[in-house]
Amino acid sequence: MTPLLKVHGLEVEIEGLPILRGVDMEVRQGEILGVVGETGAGKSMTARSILDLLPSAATVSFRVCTFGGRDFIPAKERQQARGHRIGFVPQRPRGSLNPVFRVGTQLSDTLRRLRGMGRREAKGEALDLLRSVRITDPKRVYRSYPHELSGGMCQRVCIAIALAGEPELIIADEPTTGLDVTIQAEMLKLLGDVIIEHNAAGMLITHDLGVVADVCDRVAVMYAGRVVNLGSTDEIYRAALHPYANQLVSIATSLDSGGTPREIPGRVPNPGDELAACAFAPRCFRAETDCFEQEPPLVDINGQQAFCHHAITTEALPL
Amino acid sequence: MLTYIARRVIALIPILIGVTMVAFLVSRGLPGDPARLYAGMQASELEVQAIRASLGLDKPLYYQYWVYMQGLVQGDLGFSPRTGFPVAEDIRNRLPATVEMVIFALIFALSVALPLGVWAAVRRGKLIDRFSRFISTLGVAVPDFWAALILVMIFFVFLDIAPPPVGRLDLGAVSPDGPTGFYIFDSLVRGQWATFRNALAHIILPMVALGFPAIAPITRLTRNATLSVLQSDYIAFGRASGLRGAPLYLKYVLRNSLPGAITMTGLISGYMIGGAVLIERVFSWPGVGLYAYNSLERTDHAGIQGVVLLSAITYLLVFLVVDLVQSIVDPRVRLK
Ligand SMILES: Nc1ncnc2c1ncn2[C@@H]1O[C@H](COP(=O)(O)OP(=O)(O)OP(=O)(O)O)[C@@H](O)[C@H]1O
Ligand SMILES: [Mg+2]
Repeated sequence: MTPLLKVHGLEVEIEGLPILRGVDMEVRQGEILGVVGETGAGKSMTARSILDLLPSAATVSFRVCTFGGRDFIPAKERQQARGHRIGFVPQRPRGSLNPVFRVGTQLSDTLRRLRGMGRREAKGEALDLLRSVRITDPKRVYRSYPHELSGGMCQRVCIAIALAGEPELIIADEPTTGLDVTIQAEMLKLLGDVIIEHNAAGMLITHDLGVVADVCDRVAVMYAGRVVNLGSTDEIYRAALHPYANQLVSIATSLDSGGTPREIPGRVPNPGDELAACAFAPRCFRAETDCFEQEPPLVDINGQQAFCHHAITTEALPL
Repeated sequence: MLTYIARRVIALIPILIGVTMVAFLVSRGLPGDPARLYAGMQASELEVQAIRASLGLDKPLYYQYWVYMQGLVQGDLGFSPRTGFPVAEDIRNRLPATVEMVIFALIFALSVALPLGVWAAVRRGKLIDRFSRFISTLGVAVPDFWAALILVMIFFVFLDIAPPPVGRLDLGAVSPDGPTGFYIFDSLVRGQWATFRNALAHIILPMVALGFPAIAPITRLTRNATLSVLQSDYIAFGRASGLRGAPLYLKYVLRNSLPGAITMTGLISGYMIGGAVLIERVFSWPGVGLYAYNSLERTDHAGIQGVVLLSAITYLLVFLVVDLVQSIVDPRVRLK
């Protein structure tokens, strides 16, 4: 089956600094792909490249970019996909709704714009959408302004707006930042359910591997502007090939079981820093000289891919 | 909302009493003896004395003020010996001319400044941004009466496409018999098309002259507000949801950049009442500005006090309206 979204060799530069250095990833029909990595890894930039929403100073290039079999390299294609084919769920839901318009107006405006509906039809559909994101009193929410709603409620509204154009893919960029910790899991679960109910695929960006396990079918692990490890959630959790992914997983699981995780030493490189051939090498417990000198090869085992000279294949995991 | 308005209006009363005092003292402090002016140069000192007594100017100041305030609470602004009418009636007759001109000037200024401000922000640093800066500089550098004179020179004297600066209509034209005193509105509702066209032709130059200096500050404010709105999360999300082009900028962005422009427009419309004095002189516009000018020239105490009080009330009401509009435009603003 051809993937819904295929990105290959995505590079982004801002003012001469490389931000993305060849991102490869796929989102398959009907699946939810998790994208994880520490802050600055380029997760948001990847999403923004797909929607052609990069800052104006950025230059972008793809080797391959297709969506539903269509060439997505021309910027115009990606712009026209916004809302229609790709729905977007933002970070900081409260600030993402326009403060001076009623929530209902924003939702039905979106419906009228994306689906060419009339006023009345749009209102009816808007209420249905609010119900579909489990809002129990859609009429009240419809009439409210964003500042009258809780963060969780605003995020439900944002999800409804993302669904308005009946998109084939929903991209959610850290959709729970700024929300109460108590409702974060519930919100992610809701997002996952809603994506499935609307027969869409999902791309869920987060820096927390823990949240991915419940919702995502596959995971892409990003580091310093690249996807370094990609595989099914089960595989990544059970035996991630890349040492970086492996350590992220062990941090997540030891957090889950209440232990103190062992931190990854060193820090994330900034754009423009001198990088080793494998950008993770200076922080890697398995690194050897070849990691600093030669581009890491692609390792592909059980459908899991990683760029690593010393992928963790058969040995026991160091703990 | 209504109780809010009532409270605000009541709070204005002490301010207005202060204003009447200032207006009273200022008008008395002006050089020139009104009695002598009305009596004429040839009149004898005795005749002047008689007129002074009839105007009450021989009484002590506090007594004059007391008489004035007594009239004021009954809505009597005093009597103008210069025009021979009660000041209230004079103002009532002239106010529509000024208000009509100010409204047109504001509409003109806003319809240039708002789109220009948004556009300059969207194309920051590009040609249109520099153009808006040029217009702004020009608006600050050129005083409105000077702009008025230049406009008359160009469009009436040289090009001869504008009507002569003789007031609201051609000389000898009959004013529309409408209900409001706004000629353009009245002639429109009465279907008097010739008058409508004539009134429109006459208002264009004063509108531009009075409105032009207002373009600069409103454009700058709108531009700067728009720049920060464009950085906001909600515009980013709007874009990601497929919003773009004119609906994005003119509905969503502009609506969020408005609050600053509204406050500025309020300030400016208060200022325009003052600016109208000279513009009305240039265009022989029969409004309160011209009335104020003539009252000053003839040391017409009642007239001056009336106009000062009127402009104070206008200013204060404008601020009330600004707050009300603000609360409509931005639902987060609470009236209290
Ligand atoms: N407007 C910009 N101009 C220049 N550099 C930028 C800009 N936005 C982001 N960057 C840089 O691009 C890199 C990738 O940023 P990105 O936002 O994609 O990271 P992320 O993986 O989403 O991180 P986070 O978890 O913090 O959201 C970062 O190093 C960041 O500093
Ligand atoms: Mg991010």
